[in-house]
Amino acid sequence: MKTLKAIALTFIFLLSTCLSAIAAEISFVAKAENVVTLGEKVLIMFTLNNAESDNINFPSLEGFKILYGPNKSTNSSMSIINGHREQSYSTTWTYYVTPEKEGTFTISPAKATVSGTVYRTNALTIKVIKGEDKPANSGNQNAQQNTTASISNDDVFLRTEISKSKVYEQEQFIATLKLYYRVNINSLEDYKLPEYKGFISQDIEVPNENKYGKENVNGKVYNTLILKQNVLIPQKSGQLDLGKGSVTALAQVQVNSQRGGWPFDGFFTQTRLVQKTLNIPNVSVNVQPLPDKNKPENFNGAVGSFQISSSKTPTEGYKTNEAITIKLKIQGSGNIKFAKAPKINFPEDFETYDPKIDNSIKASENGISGTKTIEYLAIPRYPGEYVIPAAEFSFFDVKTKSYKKLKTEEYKLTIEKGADVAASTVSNYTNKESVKYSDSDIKYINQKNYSLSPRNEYFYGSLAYALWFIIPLVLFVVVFFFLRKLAAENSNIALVKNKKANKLATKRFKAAKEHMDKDNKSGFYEEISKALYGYVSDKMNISATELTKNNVKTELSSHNVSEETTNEFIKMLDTCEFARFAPSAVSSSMQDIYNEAVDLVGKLENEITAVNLQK
Amino acid sequence: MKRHLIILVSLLFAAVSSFAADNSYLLNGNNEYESGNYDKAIEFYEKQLQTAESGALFYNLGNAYYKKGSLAPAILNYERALLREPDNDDIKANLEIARSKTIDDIKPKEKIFFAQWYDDFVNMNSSDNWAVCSIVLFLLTLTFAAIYLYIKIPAARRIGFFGGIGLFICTICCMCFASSQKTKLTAHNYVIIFNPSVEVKTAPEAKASKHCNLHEGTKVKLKQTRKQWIEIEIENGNSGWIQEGDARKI
Repeated sequence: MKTLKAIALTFIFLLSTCLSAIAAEISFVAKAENVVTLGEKVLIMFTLNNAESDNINFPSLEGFKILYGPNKSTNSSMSIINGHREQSYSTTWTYYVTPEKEGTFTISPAKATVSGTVYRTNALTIKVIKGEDKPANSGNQNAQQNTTASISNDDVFLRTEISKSKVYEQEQFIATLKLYYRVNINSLEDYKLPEYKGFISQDIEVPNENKYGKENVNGKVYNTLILKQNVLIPQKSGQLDLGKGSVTALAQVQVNSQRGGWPFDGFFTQTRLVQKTLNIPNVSVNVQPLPDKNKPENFNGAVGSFQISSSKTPTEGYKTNEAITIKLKIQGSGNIKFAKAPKINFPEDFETYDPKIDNSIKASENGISGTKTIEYLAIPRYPGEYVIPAAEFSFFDVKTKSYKKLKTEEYKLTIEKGADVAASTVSNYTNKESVKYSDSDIKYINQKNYSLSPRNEYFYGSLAYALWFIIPLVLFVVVFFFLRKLAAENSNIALVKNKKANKLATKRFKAAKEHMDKDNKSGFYEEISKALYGYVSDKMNISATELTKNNVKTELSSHNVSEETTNEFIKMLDTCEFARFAPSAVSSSMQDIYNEAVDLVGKLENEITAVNLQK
Repeated sequence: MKRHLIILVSLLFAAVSSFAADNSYLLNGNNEYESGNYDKAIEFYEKQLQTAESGALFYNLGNAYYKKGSLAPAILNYERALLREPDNDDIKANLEIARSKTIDDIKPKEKIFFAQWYDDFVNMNSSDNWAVCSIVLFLLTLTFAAIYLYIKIPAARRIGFFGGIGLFICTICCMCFASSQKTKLTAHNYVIIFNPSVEVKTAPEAKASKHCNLHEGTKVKLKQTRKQWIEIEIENGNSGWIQEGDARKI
């Protein structure tokens, strides 16, 4: 049982190591020096790691003469770290070549086929510079070197190279501080680098393989080392100085021993360290101001060459209270880091937040380039149709030397009502007095009143309304005039009667006189009594039927007739009545009675008229 | 003369005799509302509105819209109902609730207290009620005039004279109130914003700059109409232009 377990463990261990070995990465790399001088021997290596291949295609090495190669060599290594075994092996093919002419040559990638997969190396770029003018006498050079224990400015110096000497404000350029040396430099210290006043500077990280190079300056080949490389962006216009500086170098100088005749002189040369302060000369740049002509309103200082694009998330199905993100990407090279984010004017019903800005920027020997990502977050609060206007970004294009305007697309959004819109609306407006109703429901419908009126017809101003005024008023007026007329007519009759009373009485008296002349007693008395009654009736405006003796008495007194006259009048009426039915019983003659009656009427007339006048 | 009078009186009664409209749609609408079919209730009410109207009908329609969740039509119909029955507490309460759900909280300009009293007093009755009041008062005026003219007792005559003058003034007032209430109904001086969100512009052009935003259900005063645009005055005194389609007249 135990042995079985042990076997299983061993198997697992072996398997895992196998797997790890397989897992090691396969790569195919080409290597060579970047800068070579004419006539120099150049080594070019192609290395295939962790794989074996027989099918390899090498590129043609144009511009170079092959001195030797390809020479194949293999190398393998194994390491065990914490019981984990790592095995690696590589095959290297080596060429020795020599350049045929000056210039920059590119060696295209080599291809290796490993079990069906093709691996390619990187392409190589090799710059070939002019070789050093060989002095005629090599011994002379030797002597020179021997005698001087110091180093000249020709042997080592510093220089700042700029990629452009004439730039626009805010236009980026590269400043490279290079050390040129023909002697061995042990170390550099006491760096006093220029401050680059008036510029925004950004360090460029130079990869180690690009730091070192060779250059031919005035017929001498120097090794070069890039000490510092910066992207500079001028912040003002005019002639700007980068500034001076210095670096102290410790150089190794070979010195021959002073003791002569020592047989090993040729082999053993002494080296001595020499300290030298190297000055960094000033370089000035001509900075032009940005033209004012055609300067866009929304220009905010971006100089370079840029592209802009925008996207929105989500792409569809917008609801209230759900966030919408507009992503704006500004891509390109230039002072992108300092370019301000363009403004997007969201509709007012959107709740907006400060945009989130993300710079992904790389400074390289080509300048600053990268992407600025601006995320605008907005939350629509109310449903409806909205337009999110385009964002505008303008910059100064250094290539065409003109301003350029970029626009993103405009978004048309239809916002639908989200689920929780009501709740949030209510909670947003809590300080409104009326919210206190929000938890109570509306009152129920009206189910009592079913009467309807025609549309757009109103009682006020209608014909019916007018008639309600006109008819009562007309009736009132008609009745008024009718009554007035009646009253007028009535009063006229009374007046006429009053006026006629005397005449009628006179007429009756005449009739009575005729009866008296004929000696017709009953007729006479009848006429007299009629004359008296008629007079009173007409005068007082009382109908004859209503006339009684009592009546007459009150009526007369109400007309202010004296009591004496009234009594006389009543007595006269009595006499007449009595005489009508028993004429013989009356003592006084008809003539007396006639005179008396006429007198009486005259008296009455006087008294009543007197009263009327008084009134 | 007599014949003319008879014709006039019969005309009067014909005009006064109440308009007997077919109210079957209203009844159907109420039934649908009771069973919770607000969409159908709205349909019936709207059909009824094509021929006849009443405060209760507008009120019920407002309720149906509210229950359906359409705030702006609910407010519009409550406002219309309130114009016809200005003293109805149910309408007032529901309008208040509906308004509390709107977004814009515009504080109306405060009126001087007696202007407010006057408004409240006028709003105690609808136009028709004020009209009836004026008729009753007018008839009373005539009665008092008759007392003055035909009763010989001096005290009665005095009452008839002064009472008649007082009643006549009241009649004129009632007519004015009826007129003003009717103007409110017919002038359509107010609109309700119907779109969820409306940009109020400073001029009647699409390109004009924005003054402010108004939202569904807000009541604003209508000042004038120009082509497709209407000038509105918000209750707090600001004014601007919106498109005609964004709002509806009360």
